Amino acid sequence: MLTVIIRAIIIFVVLLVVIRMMGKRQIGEMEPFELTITLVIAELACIPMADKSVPLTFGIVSILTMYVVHQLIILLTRRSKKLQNVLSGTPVIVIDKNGIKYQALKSMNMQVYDLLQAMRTAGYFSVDEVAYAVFETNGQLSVIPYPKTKQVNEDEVALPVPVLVDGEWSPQDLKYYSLEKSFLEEALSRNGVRAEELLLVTIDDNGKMLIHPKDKKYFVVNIGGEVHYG
Amino acid sequence: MVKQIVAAAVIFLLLVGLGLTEMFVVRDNFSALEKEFTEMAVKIQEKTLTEEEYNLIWEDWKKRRETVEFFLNHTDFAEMDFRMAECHAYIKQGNYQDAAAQADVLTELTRHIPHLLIPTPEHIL
Repeated sequence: MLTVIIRAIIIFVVLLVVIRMMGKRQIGEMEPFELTITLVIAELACIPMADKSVPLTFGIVSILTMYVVHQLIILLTRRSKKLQNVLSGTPVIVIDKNGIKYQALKSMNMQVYDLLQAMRTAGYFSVDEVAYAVFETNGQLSVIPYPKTKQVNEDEVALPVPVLVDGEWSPQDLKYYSLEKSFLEEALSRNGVRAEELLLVTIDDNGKMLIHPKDKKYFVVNIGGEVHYG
Repeated sequence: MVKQIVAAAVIFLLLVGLGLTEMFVVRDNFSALEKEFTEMAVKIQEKTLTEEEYNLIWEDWKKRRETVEFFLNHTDFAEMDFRMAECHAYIKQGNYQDAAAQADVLTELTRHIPHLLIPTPEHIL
C-alpha cells in the first residue's frame, strides 16, 4: 500500500511539472490535438499509479514522450498553416447578418441547439442580438453583437425560447412554457411560412417571435399580447 | 518559445538515451546470465551441479535483478524468480531431471526478455 501511495505522489508531481511546461493552453481552451494529449496523459498516469507490476519509469517516460510530441506539434504548426488547419481545423462563421448559416453548422456536425447553447454561454439569447458569430478551432464561440440602440426596462427583459428547431416543434419547450402549438402554427401561416421550411423559431414573454427560414434571412414579428399560453 | 524548444529537445535526448541504456544494460546482464544458465544446464545434465554452486548463480541473478528491475516489467523477472526457486528445490532434492527442464526455461527467458525490447514493428504492434 505504501508503494502505491509513493508511486501516486511521484506520478502526480511528474504530471504537474509536465502540464505546467505545456503552458496555459492545456488548462484553458484546448485544440483537438491538445485534448488528445491531455486524455492520453491521464490514462498513462493512472496505469503505473495503481499497477505495481508496471515500472514507474514506463509511466514517466510515456508522459514525457507526450510532452515532446506536444512541443513538436506546436513548433510544426507555427511554421505550417496547412498542418495547423489539418490538426486544428479552421474557424467557421456560423452566424452573419442574414442569420444562422445552416450549411456551416452541418459541416461541423453541429445542431442548432448546440449553437443556441454556445450563444447562451457567450451571453446572447437571441439570434437577432448577434451580427456575426464564429466557432473557433478550440470550440469557443466568438460573437460580434449588434450595438444596443436603446435601454431595456426590467419589464421588457424576456427569455427567447426555441419552440421549433430544424423543422420540428420542441414539445418540452412548448410544454414548459405552456404554449399552444396550434396558435403558433397559425402565426406562422399568417406570415406565409410553414414549420417544415424553418430552421428556428423562438418566442419570448413579450410576444416577440423570431422566424428563421432554412435558407433565408430571419425576420421578427410581434404577436404581442396575443400569445396564447395553454 | 526557445526555452520550450530547448526543454523538449533535452527531454527527447534523455528519453532516447534512457531507451538505449535500457537496451544495453538489459542485453549485457541477460547475456551474462544466459552464459551462466547454459553452463548450469550442462552441469545439471551431467548431474554434477551442487546446491552451493547453484546458490552462487542464484545470488548473481538477484544482484543483476536489482539493476534490470528499473527497466523491465515486474512480471517478466517474477517469472525468472519462480523458476529459479523451483530449480533450487529440485537441485536440493537431487531431482536433476526436473531441474534440467527449469534450466532450459531459464535459458530461454534470458534470450526472450531482452529480445522483446528491440523496437521492431512486431514488438511495437
